[in-house]
Amino acid sequence: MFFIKELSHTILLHPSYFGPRMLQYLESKLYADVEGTCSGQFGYIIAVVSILDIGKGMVLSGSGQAEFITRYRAIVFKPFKGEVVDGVVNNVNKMGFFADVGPLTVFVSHQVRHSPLVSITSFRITNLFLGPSLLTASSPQIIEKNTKVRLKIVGTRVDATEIFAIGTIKEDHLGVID
Amino acid sequence: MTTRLKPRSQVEDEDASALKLGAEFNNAGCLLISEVKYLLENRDKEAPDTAVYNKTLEYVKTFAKFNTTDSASAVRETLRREPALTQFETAQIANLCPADSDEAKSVIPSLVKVDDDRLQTLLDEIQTMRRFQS
Amino acid sequence: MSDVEDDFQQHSGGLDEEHEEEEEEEVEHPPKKDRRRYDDDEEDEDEEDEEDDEDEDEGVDRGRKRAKHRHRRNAVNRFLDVEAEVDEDEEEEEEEDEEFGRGFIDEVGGDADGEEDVVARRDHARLDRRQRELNDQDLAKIAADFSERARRTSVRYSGDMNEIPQRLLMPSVHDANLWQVRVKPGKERDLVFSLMRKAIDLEFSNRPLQILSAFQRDSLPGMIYVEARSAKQVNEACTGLVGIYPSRGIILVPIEEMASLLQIKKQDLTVTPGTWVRIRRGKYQGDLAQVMDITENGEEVGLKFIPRIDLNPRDDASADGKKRKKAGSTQASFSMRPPQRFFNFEEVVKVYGRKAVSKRNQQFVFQNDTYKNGFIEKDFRLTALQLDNVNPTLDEITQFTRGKDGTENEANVDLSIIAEASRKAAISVLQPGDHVEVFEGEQSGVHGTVHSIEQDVVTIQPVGVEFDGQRVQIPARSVRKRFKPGDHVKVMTGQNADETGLVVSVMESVVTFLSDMSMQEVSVFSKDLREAAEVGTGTNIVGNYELHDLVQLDLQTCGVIFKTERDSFRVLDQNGQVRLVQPHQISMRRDSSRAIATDSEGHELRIGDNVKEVDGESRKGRVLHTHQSFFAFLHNRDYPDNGGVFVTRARSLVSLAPKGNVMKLGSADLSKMDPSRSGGAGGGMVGSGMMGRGPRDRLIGMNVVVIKGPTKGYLGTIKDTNGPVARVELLTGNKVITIDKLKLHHKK
Repeated sequence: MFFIKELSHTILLHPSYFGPRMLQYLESKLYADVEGTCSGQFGYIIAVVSILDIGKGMVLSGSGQAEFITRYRAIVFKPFKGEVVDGVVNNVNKMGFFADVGPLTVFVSHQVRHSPLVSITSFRITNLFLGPSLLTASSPQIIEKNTKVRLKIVGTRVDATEIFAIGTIKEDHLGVID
Repeated sequence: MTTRLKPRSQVEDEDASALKLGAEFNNAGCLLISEVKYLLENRDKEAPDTAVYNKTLEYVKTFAKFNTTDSASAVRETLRREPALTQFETAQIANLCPADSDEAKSVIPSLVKVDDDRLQTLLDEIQTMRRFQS
Repeated sequence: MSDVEDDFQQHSGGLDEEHEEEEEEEVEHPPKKDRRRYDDDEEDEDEEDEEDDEDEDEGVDRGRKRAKHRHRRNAVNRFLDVEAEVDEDEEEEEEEDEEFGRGFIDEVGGDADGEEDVVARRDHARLDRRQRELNDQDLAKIAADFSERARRTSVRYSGDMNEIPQRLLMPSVHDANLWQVRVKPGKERDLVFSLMRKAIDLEFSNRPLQILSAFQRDSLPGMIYVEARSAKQVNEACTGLVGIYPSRGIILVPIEEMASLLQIKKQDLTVTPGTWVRIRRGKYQGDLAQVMDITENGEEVGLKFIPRIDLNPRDDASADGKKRKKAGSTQASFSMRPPQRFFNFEEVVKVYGRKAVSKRNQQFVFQNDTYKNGFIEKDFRLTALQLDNVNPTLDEITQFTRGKDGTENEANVDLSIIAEASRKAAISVLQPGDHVEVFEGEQSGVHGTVHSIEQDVVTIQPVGVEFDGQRVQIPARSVRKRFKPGDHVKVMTGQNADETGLVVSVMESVVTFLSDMSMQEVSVFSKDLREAAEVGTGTNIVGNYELHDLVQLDLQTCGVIFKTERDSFRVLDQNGQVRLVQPHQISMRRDSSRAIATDSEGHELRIGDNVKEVDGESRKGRVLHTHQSFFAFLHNRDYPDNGGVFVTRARSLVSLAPKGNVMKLGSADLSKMDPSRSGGAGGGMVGSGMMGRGPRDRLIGMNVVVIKGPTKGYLGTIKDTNGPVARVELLTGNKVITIDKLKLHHKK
């Protein structure tokens, strides 16, 4: 889900940059610093929409640098467990496929659940592979690169620089869309 | 016996199907994909060359359901008539454009609170808007 | 305090009493011995009692020397050091009565302290003699004693104990406490002996050790337990011994845990058909095998496992001598054992000749071994097998399941056995807070979080309406960890240890997850998993090197790590070769963040740029590193080979994003800007040339000589300055020191 969110960012500015063009430095630094980053708390910060307040520069004693706490408004993208999203398949392999949902990559496993205890290994064999596409056993839809799919996010993993998610298409109204 | 095992703290699960988005996002303003597209395309600044930005732009171009700001805001206006809808649900309906109330409740489980008929009316309107947008 | 004597290494104090007792024992001896024949069992218990009793009543009748009869002491116990101890405290009235009830005969008493030593020695001699005699008469009985002792379980007192109820034997608040002391791992036993020697040494000194006993458990490395009234006494006893770390805390063992510390867990080594075992020795060392049957005496078991047949025997010449060949192949197997491979009739016949293999029904006999369905079936002695900690991995079991032709062979393998095997281990890996589900018994289907674990019973807090906050106690073997798709998990044990990933599917106790690092699916038993908050940092760092580091392999070769294994890396070098490298083979990590390379359009190529090949396969990727301005290592997760890392020529790349090169440079510089360090050089670009040179100290780079202090006379170069001090790189030893500027002198 995309959100518009007010965020803040702290910039340290060296005294050598103080002067008439200071605001420009700050702005471009803010853009360069935050756009395209990802944090667990806010998700992906995709673009800064507007700068609300560049902040009052507080000169730090000792170093002489000025600290600006900048408030800005940005488009962020954060996936949630249980959210249904559309995505574009980007890669299909023997385990399932990866779909791009904006900056997020979602893996959808084609694991089919047989009745329990059949075998641990059989699911690998029972699936049909048609070149780089695969038939999901539950629905006769061919999934290949650039197929559009509707999927549900079942889990996310967040680390410092990216979010990764696991999805499923094995529910009603999910799967290939046109 | 030697080390005490502490129960692990349970983090509260985020679960979009129950509208639990975590402290930061429970009341945040949601954007429709169409709105994101508009915002990104009409940026006055130079587009940053980041993978995140580029992929997002590609994504919103692919999945934007409403091409003009007018139609997007019309959709918002329509959905505002149903007061029970949260920001998140509004955006999900507009992004996914489910055809009928059954599908809507399946992909957005929190919609169970909305009456089927009223939901259906809304969805029909949105479908119409989508079909006839210029 | 049951089974104390097994672990008691020593008692301090009170040696004298022991000897007096033995003296007494001589008198009392014959009738008691008879009695021993009848009830070994009870006697063991009694002897336990005595130890306890001693602790207890000693305090009361301290002062009057007392010889307790040791008549019922087990023959074995003479190996144990000394019991009885001196103690000041007063307590235990009840138990004292109990003890006197059993007719202690008291008193010899009169020895002055000086004499005791002599008496003691004499007594020892007598005791030894007596015991030699004793050994001669009833070896059989002693043997019986031994086996009885060996068979005893932790619940020894639960039998019909007509004398002392068990609870009275349990330690109470009045007893001395047990203190846990940290020691150097591996030294536990030695240290306990040291403590004993120290106790004996100091026994008659002014300051005898005040501790009562000390012991260690093999199962608890790095700690010993000392029985004493106070931590101070423990500390005193421990001072001066190397390897004991009283400073790391002398921890009081809670009373309720004291007994369990001394319990000996009986090893449950029963083997049933279907159990997994590992072979301890020989050609099949470490291999997994499944028990098929057991001989009646329980000493040999029939095993089924995957054979290792040498299909390239060395002495091909002697085609006739099957025996010789066998000898040759077994010898060879020690140096290099053949891989596990299912028995294949055709292959074996081709190598060994048709005569070597005979066929009987469905079975083949080859070199005196029977092969069936590709497996070898062979009898092994139980002692040659490892029965516990087998931990069959999923791979091994899958291999078993698959059978020789690579197809499913479901009838052959009973999955419940695997489940059983994994379940046993599962008990030990539960932790409070784990999500578990009950999969058998009445409560089957219930799931919840583990609240507490006691022995084999877990208390769980079930999730669900009908339970409403109440807790349920379930045998640990009936629960298993519960995971659901989407959970982020970490592997705790096994070959995939430390791997983390998101669960994609759960089938019974097998969980499949998508590894964070390799983006491959991995299947493991749920018992080996834990929910993890962190991403597997452990998996992508080995030594000092990390995934996607550019490393120097030798003078000519550089490569990028694309996969880390437990203690090695897979590295893609600049020529596109994949190498398996150990950390020590890497000479250094290279930092290519300042390396310069240009793409096909002459623009600068930076790390992190998204680029595309203009020729060849026109692959896309993100620049990881550039090397020698010529090679570029790119990464794209979409390519399954080499973890998505590939190498190409920088010249054949083009940036994906149309970039105004200058603009990009500007913004990048600003983003990286730490003007205080980069010296404003980046800022200079924007047109303020003056501020560039500001921060740089003119002293930097100057050659200086130290004129004062310990490094006086040394030559060096100023690397950095900060106020009155400078950092100087000395010419000798390549050392950087921080030194007052006043102590430096300019050197031309």
